[in-house]
Amino acid sequence: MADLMKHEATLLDIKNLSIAFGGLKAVDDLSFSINQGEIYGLIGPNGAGKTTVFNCITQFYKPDQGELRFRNKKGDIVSLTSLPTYRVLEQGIVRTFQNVELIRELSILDNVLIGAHIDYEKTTVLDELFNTGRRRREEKKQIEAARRALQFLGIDHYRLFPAGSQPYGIQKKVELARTLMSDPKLIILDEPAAGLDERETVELADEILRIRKEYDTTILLVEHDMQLVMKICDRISAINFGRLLATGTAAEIRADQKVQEAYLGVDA
Amino acid sequence: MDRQLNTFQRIYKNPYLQFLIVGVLFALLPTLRAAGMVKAGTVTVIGTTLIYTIAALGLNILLGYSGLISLGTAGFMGLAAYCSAYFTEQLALPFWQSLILALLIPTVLGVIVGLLSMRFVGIYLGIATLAVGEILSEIFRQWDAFTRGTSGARAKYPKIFGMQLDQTGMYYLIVIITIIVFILVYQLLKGRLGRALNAMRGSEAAAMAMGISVYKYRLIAFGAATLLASLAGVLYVHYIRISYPTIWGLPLSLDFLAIIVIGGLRSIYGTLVGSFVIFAMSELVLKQIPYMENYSLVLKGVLIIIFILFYPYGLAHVVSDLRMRLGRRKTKVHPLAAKEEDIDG
Ligand SMILES: Nc1ncnc2c1ncn2[C@@H]1O[C@H](COP(=O)(O)OP(=O)(O)OP(=O)(O)O)[C@@H](O)[C@H]1O
Ligand SMILES: [Mg+2]
Repeated sequence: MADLMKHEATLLDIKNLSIAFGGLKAVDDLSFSINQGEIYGLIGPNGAGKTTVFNCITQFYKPDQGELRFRNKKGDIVSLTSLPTYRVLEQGIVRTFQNVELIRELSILDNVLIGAHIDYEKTTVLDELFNTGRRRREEKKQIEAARRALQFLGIDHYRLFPAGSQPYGIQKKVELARTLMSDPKLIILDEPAAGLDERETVELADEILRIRKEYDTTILLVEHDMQLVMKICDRISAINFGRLLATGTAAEIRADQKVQEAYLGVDA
Repeated sequence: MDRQLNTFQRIYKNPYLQFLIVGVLFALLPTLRAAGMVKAGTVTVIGTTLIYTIAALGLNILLGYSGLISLGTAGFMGLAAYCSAYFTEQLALPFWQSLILALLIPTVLGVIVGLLSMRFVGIYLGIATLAVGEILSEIFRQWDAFTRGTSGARAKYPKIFGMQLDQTGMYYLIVIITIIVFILVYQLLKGRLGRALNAMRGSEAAAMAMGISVYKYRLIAFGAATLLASLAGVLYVHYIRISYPTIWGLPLSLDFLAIIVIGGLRSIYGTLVGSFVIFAMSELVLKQIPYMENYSLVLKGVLIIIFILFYPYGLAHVVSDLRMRLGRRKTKVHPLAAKEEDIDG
């Protein structure tokens, strides 16, 4: 059982994952695993179950069957299914959402700071109530970190604007910046290029590569933009109707018969 | 751009100084009355309005920040009022001991309601809290031994630090406590906790994904809201010195809601202004105009509709909105945007 996780390199091991909604098997006996430091792509036609896989990993859904094992920040191997949703982040997994989830009324800076929530554990409610020196130092430190993330993505000058008033491209970057705040081991991106124009997509590819390097992390992404996926992903899994079609490098996936039929065939 | 504030701006933009100035202005009132410039009744109305502001601020934490509705605010405020009257009069406890109990009992109950609230969303939470408020209100009417029923529970001006307060002393105490509450609420909500509550309201999915326990913060929001409602209840009963069951019903809870809608979600000054519109206006202005008194309810209703339709963020945001429309500012920086200079100070 624990065979794959024996490899030091394995970060997330998904085994025989299944979940059904009513009669519909959204994810069906799916297995793949991700190594530390990889950029891993999950592709498939609309409704293939990609977002559902993400929701299972992050415990927004509890899978019907299967195992999800993760090498957490401390280096321990944890079974994700045993955790409540809000405790997945502290293991080192952070995500974005297909339909950007920001707090519209809050400033961009505040939105990014929400990503640092669990980093504040040292300050208590009383520290906040009485605005102690410890709280002020901590807040200052986090604001600096948030601004570094915003600068990294080139949107620091927008930081005081309400997030909801910004164009979609900026909002997506805010969500991305928010993931950088929790010192994640695995960042899960659900269609990061959706709604972006060509120039923004090229920028995004570069940003994802830089994030992996500078934040020393692993990235799992779902994306319909094949150019982006083929360009930056080390390995890719293609799925359809919740089932695995193939796993391999960009070249292997492109050459795969089943993938071409089920997926690339639709495009061609 | 934040660095270019001049010394004068630095001072008047300092939130603590602002709170202090507001406090000093309110504290001047008894002096003005002594000089014959305002009526004694006006001081009482304004003192009461400040008390209502405290309770409304609690509801703002719940509704404005956390997106959780409560129609039970008046019930909790009344419970604290009756507790304090009962403990100081019937049990002859010192004011401080009574205060702690009168804050604790309703707050524990409020947190329990928060626990139950996990099962309810949106309008159903409104109905559940309405039920709690109405049950409390019914208890106030029926349980004579505790509330003295329709004849009302009496209380005295308190004695604190060995000093027996009179009416004016109590007014000063209310002003001081109001300003302390403003400062503490401001500090509590401007950082991590405020952002967590905002996240819970703005996107529960984002909140959970960012490690925020919705459960924990719901309880904190309910706890803070009931604590402030209780504090208001205690101040009320020792200022007005009598509590009738009829006060603590749904109409008062709806007034608190109106304060927030008219004054402004997530704004301390908005809550203060809203309280003046709802409580002080009808007492101080409408009652002076013949026949208008009877229409105060209609006026409130009209105001609420206007604000929901045209200014969903309330009076607090009207000013910045008007400025933007007049083009004095090309860009709108949201009032809730983090101000970095706060942190340095
Ligand atoms: N909460 C849910 N309740 C019922 N059905 C669901 C739920 N979530 C997903 N599904 C169904 O599961 C299937 C897979 O959906 P999912 O969102 O995972 O697809 P996807 O691969 O992310 O598609 P897209 O590329 O369009 O985002 C769909 O048929 C969808 O309708
Ligand atoms: Mg999807």
